Parts: sequence; structure tokens; C-alpha cells
Amino acid sequence: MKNLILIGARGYGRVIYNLAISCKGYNTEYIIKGFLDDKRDALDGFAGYPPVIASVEDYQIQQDDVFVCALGDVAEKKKYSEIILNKGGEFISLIHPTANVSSNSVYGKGCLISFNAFISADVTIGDFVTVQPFTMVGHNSVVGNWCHLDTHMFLGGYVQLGNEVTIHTGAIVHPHKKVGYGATVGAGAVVLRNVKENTTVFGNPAMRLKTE
Amino acid sequence: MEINEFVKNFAEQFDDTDMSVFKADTAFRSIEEWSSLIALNIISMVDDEYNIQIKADDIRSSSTIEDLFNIVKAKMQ
Repeated sequence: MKNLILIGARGYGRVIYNLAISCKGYNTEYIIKGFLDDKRDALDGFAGYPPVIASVEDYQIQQDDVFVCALGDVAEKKKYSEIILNKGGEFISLIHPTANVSSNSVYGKGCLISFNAFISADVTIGDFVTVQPFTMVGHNSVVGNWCHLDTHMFLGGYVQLGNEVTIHTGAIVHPHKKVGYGATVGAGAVVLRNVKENTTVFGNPAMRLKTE
Repeated sequence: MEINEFVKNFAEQFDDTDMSVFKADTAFRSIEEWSSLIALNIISMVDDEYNIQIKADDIRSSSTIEDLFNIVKAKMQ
């Protein structure tokens, strides 16, 4: 039996705790040991959760530990996951039993695929990708490492997301479109054109938010 | 603004048409993939890349990519 440790004990940490106890591996492949968070009182006032054990920086990895990173922000998720990876920690993926992963679709390690997510056929999802509830990932799509796909977003067929892309709530990416490395698609945006790396787009049709 | 770069930006709004099809004198409406959605994407591309707002009429009155390029260029001055 593995001991699952969740990185982050804030709001999203509590959400992912619920994902972890809903997956079929709970009590068969892993139990939940607790959270890592530098805010040791993060769970004060919230009943029924396992303890905050230590900060990510201070925690020493034990035999049979496995990890998931319950941080919503892509940059924070990457930063804290890499601290554990550098200590030799092993990450697992949690797939909710109501999530649908279709034929030939694959995902890497450290992924969190939440309830009622629909991953269509022949999709490739990288490592450490967060797929929130009620998302639709179209057939033949490619999702890079560290991406965050928020609730009710939709990717059409053959969409390509680079690494570290955030698609916010309710956004739509038209089929065949590419979203470059580190880009952000705002809530409710309708992406009709390719999105360049490290840019933010918003609106319908999605336009680049200019910094000047 | 330079015509070759404009043609490239124009071509990137198409998914299925080969890049070699796009030249300054290409009559873009005769391209099979041309659609009202691509017209919208051209307007959005011009806004994004050149900070110029064109209208559907500007596209309607252009027959080649260079015609549209000249309209955008005129608005820049």
C-alpha cells in the first residue's frame, strides 16, 4: 500500500483530497497520509481532513510515498512538483471513475482528471496536467506538460496545446488550433486563431490582451 | 509593414490550404477554404499584428491579398 501525499492544503487541496478518496485506488493501492503546505494551520476550521505534515521544502521522502500536486496555478504547480521530483519523489495520476478516457488516449504521470471529464479518442495528454470537471477534450488533441484545463472548457479535435498552457473556465478552442507554450486563454474565450506562446487571449473572438 | 510578412500572417489563418498558394496577387476569395470565419480571423489578425481596425467592407472591396495590404497600410498613415 502506498501513502499518498497531496501538495497544497488550501481550497484546491481539499478538492483534490475528495478526488483521491473517490478513485478506485483509494484503500486498495494507496491511503492518504496528509498534505504538504508551509501554512501549517491551513486546515484549521475544516473537519475530517488528514493532517498537514510539513512544508514541501522540509519534507523528507519516505518509502512508499507517492504524490499529487493540488495547486491550481500552473507556475506554482510546476515549482512545487519539481521540488519533490528533485528529492526523488514519485507522482501518480488520479482519474475519477466518472471521467471518460476513450480509446488510444493516454496521459502521463501526476495528472488529475476530475469527475465527468471527457477525453475523446486518440488524445495525448502529457505529465502533470490538471483536467477539471465537465471538460471536453476533442479527438486527436495533444495537451502538453503542466497544462491546466478548467471546468467546462472545450477543445475541438486536433487541437494542440504546448507545455504550461492554462485554459480557463468555459473557454472554447476551435478544432485544429494551436495554443503555444505558456499561453493563457481567458474564461469564456472563443479561440478561432492560433495563440502565440506566452500571450493571453480573451473574448469572442479571442483577442490578445496587449501589455502596452 | 512588409508585404511578405502580411501574406504569411494572412496564410496562417487557413488550416488546410498549402502555404505555397499564398502570394501577394492571390485572389483569396477563390481559395476553396475561404469562409466568413476566416474573414473574421483576418480582421482579428490585422488588429493583433498591426493594431489597425478593418471592417468587412475592406475585405469585400479587396480581391487580392495585396489589395488588403494596401488598405491596412493606408490606415497606418
